[in-house]
Amino acid sequence: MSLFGSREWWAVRLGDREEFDQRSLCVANIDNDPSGEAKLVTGSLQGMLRVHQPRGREHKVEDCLLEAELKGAILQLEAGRFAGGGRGLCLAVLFPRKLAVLRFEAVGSSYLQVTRLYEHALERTAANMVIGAFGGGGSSGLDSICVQSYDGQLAFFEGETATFARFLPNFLVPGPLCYCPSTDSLVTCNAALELESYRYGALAAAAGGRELGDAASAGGGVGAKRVAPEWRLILGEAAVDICLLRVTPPQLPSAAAGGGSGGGGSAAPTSAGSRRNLGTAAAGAAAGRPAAPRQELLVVCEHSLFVVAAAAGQLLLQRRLEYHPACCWPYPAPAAPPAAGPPPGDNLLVATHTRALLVYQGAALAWAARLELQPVALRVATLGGVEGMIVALDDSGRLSVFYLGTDPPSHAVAPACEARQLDYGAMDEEHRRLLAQIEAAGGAGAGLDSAAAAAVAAAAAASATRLVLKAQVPSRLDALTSEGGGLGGGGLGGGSGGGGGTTRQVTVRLLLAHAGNEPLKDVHLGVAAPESAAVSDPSLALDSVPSVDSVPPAGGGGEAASVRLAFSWEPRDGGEAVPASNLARVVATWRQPGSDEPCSSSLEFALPLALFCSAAAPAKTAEFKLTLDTNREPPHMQLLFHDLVAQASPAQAEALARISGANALGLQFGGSSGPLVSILVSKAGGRYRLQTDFFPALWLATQAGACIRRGSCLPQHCWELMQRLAAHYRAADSKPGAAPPPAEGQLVVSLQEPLPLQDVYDLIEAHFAARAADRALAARLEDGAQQFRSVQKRLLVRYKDKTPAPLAELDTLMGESYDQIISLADERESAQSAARSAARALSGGLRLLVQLAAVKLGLGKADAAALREALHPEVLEDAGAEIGWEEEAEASLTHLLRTSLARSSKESAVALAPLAAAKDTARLQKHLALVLERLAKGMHLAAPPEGAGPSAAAAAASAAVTPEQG
Amino acid sequence: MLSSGALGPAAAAGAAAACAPLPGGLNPIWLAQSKLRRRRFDEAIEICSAALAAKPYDQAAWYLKARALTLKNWLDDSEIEEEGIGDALLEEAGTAQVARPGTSLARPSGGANAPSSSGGGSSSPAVRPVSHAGRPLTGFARPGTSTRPGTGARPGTTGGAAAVQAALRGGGKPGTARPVTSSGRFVRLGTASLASEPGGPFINAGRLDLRKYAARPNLARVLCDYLLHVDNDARRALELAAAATQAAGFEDWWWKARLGEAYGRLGLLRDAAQQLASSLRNQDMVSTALALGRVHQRLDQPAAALALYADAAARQPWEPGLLLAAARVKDAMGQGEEALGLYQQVLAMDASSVEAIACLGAHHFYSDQPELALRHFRRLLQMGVASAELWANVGLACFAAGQYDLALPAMERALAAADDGAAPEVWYNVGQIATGIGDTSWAAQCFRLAVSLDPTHAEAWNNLAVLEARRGSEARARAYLRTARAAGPGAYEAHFNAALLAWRRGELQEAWGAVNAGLAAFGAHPEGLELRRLIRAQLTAL
Repeated sequence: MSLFGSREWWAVRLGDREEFDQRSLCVANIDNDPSGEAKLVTGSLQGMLRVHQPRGREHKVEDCLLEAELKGAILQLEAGRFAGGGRGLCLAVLFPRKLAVLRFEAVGSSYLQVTRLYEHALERTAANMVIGAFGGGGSSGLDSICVQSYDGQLAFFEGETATFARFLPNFLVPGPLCYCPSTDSLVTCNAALELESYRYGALAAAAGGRELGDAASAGGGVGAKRVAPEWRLILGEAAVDICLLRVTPPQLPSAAAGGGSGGGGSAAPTSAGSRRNLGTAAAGAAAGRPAAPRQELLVVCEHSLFVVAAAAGQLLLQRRLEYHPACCWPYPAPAAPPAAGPPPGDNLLVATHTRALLVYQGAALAWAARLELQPVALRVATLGGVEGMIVALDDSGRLSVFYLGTDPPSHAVAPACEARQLDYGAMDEEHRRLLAQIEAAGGAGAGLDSAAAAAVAAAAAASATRLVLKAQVPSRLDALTSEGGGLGGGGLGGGSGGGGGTTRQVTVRLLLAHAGNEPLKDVHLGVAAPESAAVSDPSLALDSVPSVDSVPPAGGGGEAASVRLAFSWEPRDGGEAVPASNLARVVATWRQPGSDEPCSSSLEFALPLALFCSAAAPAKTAEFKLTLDTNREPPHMQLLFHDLVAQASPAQAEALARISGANALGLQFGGSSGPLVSILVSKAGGRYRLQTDFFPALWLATQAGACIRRGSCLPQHCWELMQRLAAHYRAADSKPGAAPPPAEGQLVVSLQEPLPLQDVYDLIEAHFAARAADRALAARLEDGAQQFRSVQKRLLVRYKDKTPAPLAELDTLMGESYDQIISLADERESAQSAARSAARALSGGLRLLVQLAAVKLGLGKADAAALREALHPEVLEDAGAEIGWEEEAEASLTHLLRTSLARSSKESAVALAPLAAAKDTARLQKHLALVLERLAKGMHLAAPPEGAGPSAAAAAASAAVTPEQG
Repeated sequence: MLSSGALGPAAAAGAAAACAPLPGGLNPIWLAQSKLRRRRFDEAIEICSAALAAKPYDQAAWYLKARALTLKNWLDDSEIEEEGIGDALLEEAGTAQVARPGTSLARPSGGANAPSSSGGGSSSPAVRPVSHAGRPLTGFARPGTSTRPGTGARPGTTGGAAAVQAALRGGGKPGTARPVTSSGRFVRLGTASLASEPGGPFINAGRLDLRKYAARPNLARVLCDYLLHVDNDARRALELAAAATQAAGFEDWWWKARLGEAYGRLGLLRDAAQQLASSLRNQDMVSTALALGRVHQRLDQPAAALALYADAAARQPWEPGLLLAAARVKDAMGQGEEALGLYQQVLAMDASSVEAIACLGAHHFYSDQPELALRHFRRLLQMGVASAELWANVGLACFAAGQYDLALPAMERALAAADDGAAPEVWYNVGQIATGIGDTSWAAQCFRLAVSLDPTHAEAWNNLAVLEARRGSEARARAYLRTARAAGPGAYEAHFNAALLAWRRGELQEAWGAVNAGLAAFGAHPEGLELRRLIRAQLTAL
């Protein structure tokens, strides 16, 4: 992490595939040039020795002064005065088994000539060496050389003579070696991660001045004196390098930072590039320095920097490093003016393995720069007349000279995205589109107002696929082979045989089609049959419904999915023979393909008349009669109900054939003993008489509702008879060549006689009585059960008593109570079934009443519907409940009288009594009569006259898609 | 790849000669040492393996190979304070169940939690947001800073449950899991380092006679580091260190420090503290002081750690790490002002300390000096730190300083640089900017993105809830607040908002619970106190 990069001034690549290490670089005026220019001497492990002299920016060929191949790997290079006689600086080159001292002489200005002064053959493999004026350097002022071998032998050479060799104790692996002149001692880091200092004098004295050959025994410690370190300091980390450093006194750590803030930059003037342990002998290195500078040892370890007092081995300063140091080099800070106090300490250059170069001034980090290469050796030198150039060598042989610039490192800040032309229109468009999508998905895009949102929702609904259901209802029954009877009379095989045992069945074909683009998956159908009828599959699932672009007209649907539903009805006798309803209902549910929202669609259709009744000979007399008038010539009844006639049992068919002269027909509900409705037609003015012994049975013959959606010309109140008549006349009118429609025009049905109110009242009374009986039975049952329980309890107490008392006939009482409960329950069951049939009868009667009222009073569609809602013909089987049909109907009629039929404001102000069980039906009857009377006077139930036509058609659409909102 | 065990000595030597022809009679051990110094560990290991195959008892080769392996797997764990779930659950080292305010990291902001305090200053959560665990946010994320140390709070108490939940949630970044115990982490590291080594483990520690090695100091230290960092076998290292410190006459600081480290890894914190303190008496070392301070923090004794750091820093004028450690503890204690001074001292010593710059930038940002914060963040950018977090900080500082044109491009870069861990935070901050310019639908989308990337982002849930409440869909707002409160118990805003909504609806009991939860997270919240007063009045009136 650095703010600035380094600026390269001069660089060269040394050789190809050569390897260099920490000691492969030496910077000195090696050819003793009078100008004092420093040369860069490098030696590779492959044995190449090179000398370069950078003269200016950019590397030129003539910068290379020498390139020579020496035999053997070059481990270390050191420059020093190794030979007397005014020969100046020489170069000591360490090979694994050899130490050579070379002298360089300039030939002209372009290259150097090498002469080998002397060589020492080494007995043991060398590791590294250190030079210095050991023992005060004697009088000659020459430097000695100390070579450390791989097994811990220190061999000293003074000039051309090998003085002595000593073994270090407890040696395993060689560590870096440093000579400290102020204490005349050698410092190294041993394998136990300890810093050890050996005085030169002690080393020399240890073996009593023995010669090199005997040194091996000295290592064993058999000599007079053992080699022992002067001091030892546990570092705990392996040392990377040890060098000498002059630091400011620790009590003044900030002085260095203040004095050298400018010096950390590009110009850190240093006077020479030679090593510090050259001491005063180095050319002008310490010219202006005080005579006895305080010197400490700087130990660079793997994770820390330590400053150690050379004299006593105390740890003075330490700093944990956040990086891995690669190499370091101390150099003197610029000389401060004498008035500024004590001279600042040395600056320290540290190169890290993260390719950074750090400059420390005392405790403070003065500068940090990024490097282009990963150095293994660092030096500071004056090159090309510029002071303070930094020389770095990496292990692949790149030699670089650079300075610390203030340029930011390249790639510090990622380059901005290239400025491209922005298409604002397209971006805006995309933004809008995305906003709309987010909004449609119910997200938080509040940018659109609610109206727009509603439009989007409507569009989504419009695009939703619809499922259209259609039912094809046959008018004939299925031929049930299991019946064993004749083929033709399938369902009516037992018609004359008495009893209502045979099942009739009709199969309805249900067509499904939808207008979407893709087929619907997993459509579920639920089918509800009318009461007392049964359906083959109450619920079924379709894997997929194919898509048809346009819904085929009715009866088409070749590719539409179709389902067959078999409805069956068991004919019964008595009151149950007349069904309460003939409408079946189908509901389809599915999930919308894209949005996965659940949808449903439903269809209601009427089951054919043939399912419930059969043709029979008409009866002449009956209890209930109903006469309808029409304005058209009546058709023959057997033709009109030809489907029933065709399916009639042989006996009935024969009977019918006999009376074919008379225009009359009977409709037999249920089995042979079921209610019979006879339709007699008078020859004169289109008058029909329906008569029966069972009043509610009339309703189906005149049933309403199912043909609303057939588009009939009749008003909506149309019944089976009317429906068939209408169809007949329509067919006759459209026949080509037929007589033009009579002047009377459309078929008009009217009822001359008064409404059969009394009959309806009777039904209501019957139903009410049945409910009351049921309630009374329920109360008795409850009493009985309570009695039973208390008897049980007493009996239990008796039995558990410690001192038993006589049972006192309690057991008999319990048995009696039980029997009583059972018989009451049986009674209640029959009472409930009676109430059910009474409810069914009432339901039929009410339907008839509503239809007749509509015909008689000429009610509009809305009025008839309101009346039907008020009277609520679907009487529920609510036997036993407090509130039954009577109470509800009375409440709704009262409501009608209060509101739309109110004659004065006084009536509308009548307070409504809370819904409670009625005592009798007198009020209900009165209100019903009143409502019909007011309707007859021309009052309307529905406030605004409803417009006929499309909206009505839409309201009655058979299958409306209703997306269910979650 | 060379395998010392599988090949015969001759074959291995031949292979070594073939792959690395040694120039000019170079000693292979010398080359290995040189490579080691240049951190070319694999090459060094290869050379040593070849040497060992030729001479299995070559101590120098063994020594160098052990060091190379140690350095290769070195993990500077002096700044890792992560705690595993097991550690949090089975913590027994705590001194006090309910620490006095200001003496425990578990109740960091002593001032902010006391209802009577002024609530001002940078340590107030109203001014400076807190992390998941309720610590004030610093500018620098280190492992473990997002979790609150569980010491002193046993499971069963609410604090303990929160610590366990924090441990289960992981280190704050989505998609990262956390080992069950921190020793489990070391076991994982150990197996990983062994798996990366061809030919099986180099040293079979179970078969070594550690007493024999303890008597040989040259090998013992390297072996101990190897056991700690490669094998991660703290038990064997402890055995070795105990024997060696005995052999050294209990005078060797290094062995005592290693004993302390091994004890610390085994979770025996009291023993670790004892050994480290003894080591410090032998030799004043920075690394030991840092380790001891860490043990103090794990023992939830921040005051002791601070005293130790201050003491050591006076004696170590060259070491910024001690100041930095002290500043971290101060930050965690909610004493932001004092930490600020320490960070400035660190910067005076080490101008390129990323942590100090980042923390100073964050501090200036939260003390309403966005221009100064921006300068710090720009400095980091120039130093080559280009993470998503930094770009997001630059964007926020630009926005706060009124440089709107620069804020959005910075955010774009943050998004481009963000990984899964940083993206939710960046989106959350973009949402803040959107809120700042009043584009609530944009803000809602940003927060939605944030919670889609990190479903436990409590602040984003809270802000979404506020936006929903503004739009009138209160049911949705309530649901979001529920999520926020479950995700971040330390975010007092969610508690307060939930309480406010409940109170407006008249559900006093719910409001009471929520407002108290909020005040537990931030005791000096004035609006919360006011609301609590109102609710209390209504409840007593009832």
